[in-house]
Amino acid sequence: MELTCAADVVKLAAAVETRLTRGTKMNDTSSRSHCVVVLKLTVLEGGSVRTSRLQFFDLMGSERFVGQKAAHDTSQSSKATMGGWEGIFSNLSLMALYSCIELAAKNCKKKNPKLDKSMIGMLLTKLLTGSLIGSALTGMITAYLSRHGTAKRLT
Amino acid sequence: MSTLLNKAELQPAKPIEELLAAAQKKHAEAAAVVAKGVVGKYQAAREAQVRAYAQEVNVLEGLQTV
Repeated sequence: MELTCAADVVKLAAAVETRLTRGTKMNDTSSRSHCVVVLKLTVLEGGSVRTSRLQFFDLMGSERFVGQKAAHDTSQSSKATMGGWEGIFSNLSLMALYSCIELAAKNCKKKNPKLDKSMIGMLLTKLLTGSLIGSALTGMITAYLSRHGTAKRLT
Repeated sequence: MSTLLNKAELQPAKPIEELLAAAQKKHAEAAAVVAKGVVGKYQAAREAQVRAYAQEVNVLEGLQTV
């Protein structure tokens, strides 16, 4: 959608708010998908145009499937519920992202760093290519559960 | 992630005609695919692509007249 006024931004925010949430054993309003907002900025400079992207990622967290802190009912298979499947796919995509970050960190001083072909095919890592091996400025906020079960935020 | 360079660089500015031609080409390609029809969820994805390229063309044409 084209953002031309403040009302458009509100519409965009409302669209993001419709993201699916579902209660798990660890979080009563757990996000069930990753959410990505891409803002494309176009600036006219003389006869030329400079385009940039602002990307916001709100990633679904990884979930445990065993032990006391399991997010789902451990008496049945995780594959028996939609919530379980969502957790499985989230863990898989985050694992791929983790591998990509490791690989990118290892290769970052090379002249032409490249990501593994099998990983670049994944949408999440594809969108983050600019941060991993390109020249995008990247910031990250992480929420995690401490031992006492209270959420803390790190910047 | 902390070991990544994280050095931001400005994207290079490109001639508006070049970008407009590229966007129009991509829009036409995507519109042709939509007109032909794609199976299942990919149709919606292609329709979104058409909307995105139409917007891009619209923005660039607007900038051209400035």
